Order: sequence, then C-alpha cells, then structure tokens
Amino acid sequence: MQINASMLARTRAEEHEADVWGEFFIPPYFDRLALTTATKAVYITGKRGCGKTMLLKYFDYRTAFSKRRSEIPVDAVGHVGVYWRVDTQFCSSLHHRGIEDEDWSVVFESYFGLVIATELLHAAKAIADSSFPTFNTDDLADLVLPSAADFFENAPSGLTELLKFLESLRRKFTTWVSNVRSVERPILPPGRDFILSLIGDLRAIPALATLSVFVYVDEIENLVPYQRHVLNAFLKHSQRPLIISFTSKEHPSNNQTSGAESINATHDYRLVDLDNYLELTAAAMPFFAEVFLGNLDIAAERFDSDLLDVVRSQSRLVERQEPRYQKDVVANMRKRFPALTDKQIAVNALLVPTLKDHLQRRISKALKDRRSNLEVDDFMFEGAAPEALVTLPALLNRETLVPENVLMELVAFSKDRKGSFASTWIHNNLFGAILELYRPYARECPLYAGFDTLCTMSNNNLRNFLILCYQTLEVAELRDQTEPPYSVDIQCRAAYDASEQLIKEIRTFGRFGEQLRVFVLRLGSIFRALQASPAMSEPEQNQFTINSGSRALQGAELSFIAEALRYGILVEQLATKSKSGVGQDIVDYQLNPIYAPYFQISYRRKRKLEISVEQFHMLTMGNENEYRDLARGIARQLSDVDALQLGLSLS
Amino acid sequence: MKINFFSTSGDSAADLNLPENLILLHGERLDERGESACGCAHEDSQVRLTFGVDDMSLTVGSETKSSDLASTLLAGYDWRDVFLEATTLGFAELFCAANALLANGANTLNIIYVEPGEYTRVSSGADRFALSEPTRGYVAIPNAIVDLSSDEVEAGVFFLGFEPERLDRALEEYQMIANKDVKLVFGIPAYHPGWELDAIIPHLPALQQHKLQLDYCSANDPEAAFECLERTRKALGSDKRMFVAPIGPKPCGIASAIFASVYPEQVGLLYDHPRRRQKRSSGVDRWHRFTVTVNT
Repeated sequence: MQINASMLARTRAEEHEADVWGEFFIPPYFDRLALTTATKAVYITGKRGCGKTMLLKYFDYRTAFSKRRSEIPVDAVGHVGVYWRVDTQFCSSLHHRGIEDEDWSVVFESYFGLVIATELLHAAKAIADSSFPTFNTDDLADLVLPSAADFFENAPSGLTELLKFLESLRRKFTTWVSNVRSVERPILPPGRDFILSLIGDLRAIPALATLSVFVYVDEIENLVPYQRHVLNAFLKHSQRPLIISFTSKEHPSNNQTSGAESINATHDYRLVDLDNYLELTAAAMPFFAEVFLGNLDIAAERFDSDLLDVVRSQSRLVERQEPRYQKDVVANMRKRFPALTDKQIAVNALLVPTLKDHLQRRISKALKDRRSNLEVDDFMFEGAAPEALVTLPALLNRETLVPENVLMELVAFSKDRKGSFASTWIHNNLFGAILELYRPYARECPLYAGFDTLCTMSNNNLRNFLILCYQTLEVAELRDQTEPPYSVDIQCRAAYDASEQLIKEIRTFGRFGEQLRVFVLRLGSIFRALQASPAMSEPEQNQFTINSGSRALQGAELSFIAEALRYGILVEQLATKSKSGVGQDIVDYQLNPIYAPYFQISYRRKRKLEISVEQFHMLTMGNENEYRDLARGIARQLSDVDALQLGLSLS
Repeated sequence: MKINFFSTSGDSAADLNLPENLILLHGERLDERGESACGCAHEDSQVRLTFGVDDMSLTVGSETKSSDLASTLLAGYDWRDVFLEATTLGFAELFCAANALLANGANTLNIIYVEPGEYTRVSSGADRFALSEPTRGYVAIPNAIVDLSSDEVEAGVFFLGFEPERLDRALEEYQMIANKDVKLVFGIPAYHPGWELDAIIPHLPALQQHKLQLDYCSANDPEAAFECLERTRKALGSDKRMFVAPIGPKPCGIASAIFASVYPEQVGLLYDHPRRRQKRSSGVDRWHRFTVTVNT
C-alpha cells in the first residue's frame, strides 16, 4: 500500500485549515457535548493531544458554514461558533507600561469586542456563501447594520464596508498597543454591548432571527489575571444570543470576575472534561483505532472509503456504538499491532542463546550470593516452565525464600502447574522479570507491543497513541517491512523512539518546561533503579505519593505539580493502598506511561513509591548533588545488596 | 527608506578603527568575549542596559522606565558617539536601543560584535549546547508588538541557532503561526565550518512536523539577514504585517532590531528572552564593527 508518510507526521490540529468539514472524526462522546443547543456557557477542559482544538475547529463557523457542506439545516444559525485562540504574548503586553490595570481592563474589553465583532461579520459572510438555505449573497449585499454608527460616527452600515472599517480599526489598535506612549489611542467600541448590537442588527433579518454567537476562548489559563476577570464576568452573564465559553488544558482555577461576583460550575457554566468524557464512553480503544485507520486511508488517498464516511458522519455515531462494529475495528488493529503474552515472551526469550545465557548467569550469581549448594543446571532441567525460569533471579535473591524450596516449587509447577508459581509468583513477578531480562537490549523489550498496550501507554491521549502508531510505520519502513502485521520487534523499537521523542518535547511545555523534563528523567531513573533491584521485591513501581514530611507542600511545589498534571506528565490517580497505612496520601501520581519504554519500566498501574515532602522538593527543585542524596535515601529502602548493585548506595 | 550596512572585521578591537570618545551601551558580561568587547571603551563611558521582562521596563545605567520610553531614557546620549555592544546586549535591549536612537534622529548606528572561539556544550562532546537557562517564554517588546491571532499578520521569519526548544515552544504556544507563511532561516555559512549542522540537525523534527519554508543567510552578516527579511516584507499583501523571531545568531538579531525599527507599521517581534548562561562561550574570535545608515 502506498501511503504519503508526511500526511501522517502531522498529528496536530493546527496543521489543518480552519475549515475542517469532512476531516473531523466525530468522537464517541459527541452527543454528550450538546454545545449547539446550550443555553449557558461551557468550560471545556482537555489535556494536550486530546483532540480539543480539532473539536473547536469543528464547531467554529468556518466549518459549520463550510462551502464544502452540501446541506445546512436552518437551525444552524442557532449556534454560530467563534473559536478564538488568544495570542498570550500580545495580551500580556496589555499590562504594566505605566498604565493601570483598571484602564487596561477597558482596553481589553474593547479588544475583545473588536475581535469578536470582526469574526461575527466574517461569519455572516460565511453563512451567505454557504449552502445555508435562507440567507444568500444577495441578502448579504442588502444587509444593513445601522447600530455600528451608534459607536463610531463614521461607521458604514454595509457588511463589507463595516468589516473593512473594523479591520482597519484593529490595525490602528495594534499599532497603538505597540506604541502606547507615542501614538494616540484610537476610539474603541465597548466590548460586549458592541457585539450584542451587531447581533441585534443581524437578528432583524428573518432568516437570522435565531442567530446566537458562541465564543470559545482558548488558552484562558495563560491570560493576565485582570483579563481573566473581564472574561469571567462575560461568561457569568452569558445567555443567548451571546455566550462566552472557555477552553483550557486545566480545570478552572481563577473564578473572580471584574466585579464583586465570582463564577461557579453549578450556576454559570457546565464543565466539559473531554478526557473524562472519553473515559466514560469506554470507547477510547475503538475510537483510536478508527482515527488511525481513517488517517491511513487519507494517507493512501482513499478519500471516499467506507470507514472515513462512518467516522466523519455525525448521523452514523449510533452505528459506531454497536458492539460488533467496535469489535471488528479493534480486531483489525490487534491484527496490525499484534502482542505476545508474557508467557510467550518468556518461551521465546529462552530460545535466544544470548538471553538464555544472561538468565543463567543471573541465576548462578543469585545462588552464589545466597551461598547455596545448588547449581543453575539444577533449575534448567528439561521441561522447566520458561515463565517460571524467567522469574528465578528475583526469587532467588530474596532472603525470605530458600533456594531448595524455590527449586521444589519449580519442579511442581513445571509438572502440574500448581504451587506458589501458579498462585502468586508468576503473576507478581513475570512482567518485571521480563523487563530485567531484556534490560541489556534496552530499546527492544517485547512488552511494549500490541494494540492494547499502545492504548494503555497512550493513557487515553489520542495524539500520543498516533505518535506510537506512526513511529511503528516509520521503523517498519526503515526495516523494509512495510506491510502489517508489524512485528513485535518493530513495535517495541518504535515505542522506545516515540517515548524518547516525547521526553525531549517536554522542554517546550511552558515556563517550567526544562524543569519538568529533568523531573521526568530523575523520576524515571529512580523507578528504573527500583525496578532493577535484584530481589525485585517491589516490581513495577511507576507511581509516587507524598505522604510524610515535616511540612505541607508549599506554593512552588504545588505549582509544579499543577504544571506537571496540566501537561500530562503526571497522571493523578486515586490512591492505591498505602504501605504505611497512615498519612494523607489520598492521591497517587503516576509517571505518564508513555514514558515507560524509555526507562524500561512498567506502563501498568501497579505499585507506588512513598516519599516525603522534602524528598519531593529535592526531586523537583534540587540540584544534582541534592538529587543524588535523594537517590541514596531511596536506596536505603532497599536491601543493602540491592542498593549496592544499583549504584545508588554511593559512599 | 534606504538602509546600508558597512562592516569592518579583524582579530582585535584595534582593527575596528573605534573612536576614542565612544559611549558603549552594553549588557551583561557573561564570557571572555563579552569582557573583551566591553574593554574597548573606558569604564566611565560604559552604560549598562537591562530589559525587565516581567514589566517590559528598560534600565539605562541606574534609571528605569517603561521601555516604551526608551527614547527618553537615551535622549541624553549623542547617537554619533554611541556604539551598541551587541555581544553582551540581549536582543530586547539591542532593539530598544536601536529603535530609540533612530527615534531620536540618528541616521547612523554603530554596532560591535565579537564572535566566540567555541560555544559551550552541555558536556564535552555533547551535541547540545548550554547557552541559555530555561526560557521565560515569549514576551512582547514595546514598539514592536504584534498580535499573532490576527489575520493581518500573514508571514513570519525565525532566525535559528543551536536551541531547537525555542522554536518548538513558539510553535507549541502560538499555534496560529501554523496558518501563516513562515520561513526558517539558518546561518549558512556559519561562523565556523560544521556549526551549521549543529543548528540544522536539532531542528529536523520541527521541519518534519510543520509546513515551514527554509532559507539561509550568512550567520555573521547582518546585511544578508536584512535582505532575507526584506524578501518576506516585499511579498506582504497590502495592510499586512509580519513577525520576526530572532532566536539565532546575534548578527541576525542586529538585522532584526533595525528591520523592526525602520518598518514599525509592518513588523513585530516575537522573542523569548532567555537568561543567557555565564560562560556560554569560550575564547574570542573575529571582531566586527557594523555601521548601519538609515536614510529616509
């Protein structure tokens, strides 16, 4: 199959034009959104890569009244969406510079009015140019907007002329903002009232009588506080025909308005958490499969494929919820991205001479360390179960287990699949043991393969999932094996590469970017070291909880956690059981499983590391020496043998 | 508007024919070349400039005002005597000074720049450089502010250096850039053969992911960088603007500062104000004196 790989490299919404009609894959939670029928504001949150921008582009008037849309219902004007991604560096220039916030506040309101009014006129033009049945270009030519003259003496009343007038005013405004001390401030419209007046003019036409404007302001969290308060006030007083909603990577934090009131989720807006919506539908897997397969069709220029038609049609959402359809689409992906069971991996590993030698050496060393009279050959008998053999280095390193008993259990298990291996040892240790077995082959551990695994590592994040898939295609092409199914080797190499690439990308995550990257490297290294402990008494640690210390978390630490959560570096989880059984560890923080392949740690949510506030401080803000001290501290939780072998116990 | 660039280069300050009575506007001396460059003026003729990122202020010597008032702050300096020491000045200070001097009637700007022997790497033999502390993010510079969310801004030019995260962050935080006509400019030829690869290779992932055009101009030639910017400006539609992001070699920053000063109606700046690291380079290589004349 010939595909255009460059089309696949673009996993981001901003690479698409503003009009995404016919390109948007309807997500499974689409009907729950109910944005077009809303009567109050919404606060849409979603982590980076969840599909938020593409969704908002879909609801923007450029798509809703796309020229490519053949039929547009008359009630479409009931939701004229305006997606406004603010330029935060421009907005932050409306601050300081010898002007009080109170005055800037008025300026910002006007700026908002100017931007949205211009968009509204563009929207009217788009409606006229589209297949919308009752308002066409002739109607547009006849359109009169008399109220603009109430705000500007010389404002024209025709749409095209008024649009030019407002665009020119916006240019003057930008020039004034750039040179506030040397250029005279232009006369600006009051924000909300100006927009409402124009909406009123448009509503005077029968075909547009129900017109309502829904503004979605993106990047709200990065505005200067007074700007946030202005917009909060707009949101609070939102009702048809003008509703101001927000979109953000994080949940609402600044609720103050420019007046004495504040906004809250019950009365003023409906919180729409896209990540949560996807989780609730339990349809993330089939949806991710559809997006990948759909993009594959696009890259192969099969633009009219059945799949593309199904996933792009709002009306066919019900079909996609049928279990049989979902089963088929998931099966298709499982076939392309096959996985091996842990047991199969163990069987295969022992057929590879270097891996078998490595295992034998580690078993020998464990026996020697335990001063046992047994030899490795005693364990490697004919018929010994590979899934049990692989766990032996860890088990034999445990002081609590007697090597002779372990051998007895191995014999029993290999014979009739009974005993400790059957009940807990394999279940608890095989995954970690495989990670250790493959550690010398860092980049290709077969645990990181299979469609289900890709979904788990993506942690419900569409973009991360697509990066994993496309990286697989790239590795497959390099290895000249372009046709699916993609071998496990290819997939796990791709997982490592994608993970490495995403760790590099952390640097660009806002003001704490570099600090967050260093944090991930430190945390991942600690989890790797703990995982690599010879006795593997706590395998698969990839979460931490902060449940001790002589003080509470402080401002900078809390901001850091908030930032890490916001960019999806950490995943907040309700606490798993605490070892200590005391403390206030109600939250566990899991290192995003997308980073697991880079550190060769588990992507499954299993065990956690309990740390103190002070240790967390060192982990996030400490210099290299302090971090090394921390590593030593954590090493003390391991047995001496483990710590020594890990190089954590530096004298 | 006629802009001309004249340059004199040499192995030391003595080769630049600097006048005795020059007033040197400089920034923080972070490395050997910075120390050497500032040494070409008497201590009492050196004036330190600092741009305050948090409040967009400018400090000249001991006086601080909003950088909107840079021309007032520099009104007491005769532009004929002033030299801008671009090795130590950060880009924001360089722009504020150049823009203020031109606003105060200057028709000639004198600029000194000293190339380093070597830029400091993260560790010996590493492919990454340790030039900046984590960046504070893109913050506007008064007198060259641009609203990227407006369709009026239709093009942009990034001058790129060794730090790919600076471009990545701009593309991440200002996603509206993706819909504009954006050009990435690498300094080729670089100061030394081979350095161009240090700039290009780390930017390859961004080139793969985004629809961006490529261009080249000599890393140590402000005139070439200015011409590169002119090509974009001349292609702008009527009433349209462009932005320039000078996150690469300083000579390209010099060109950007002058370009934004002479075309304020059409050009805005996008800049991330990195805290430059102490000892970010070692050694002193070529010395340059750039003289720029601006005739309306």
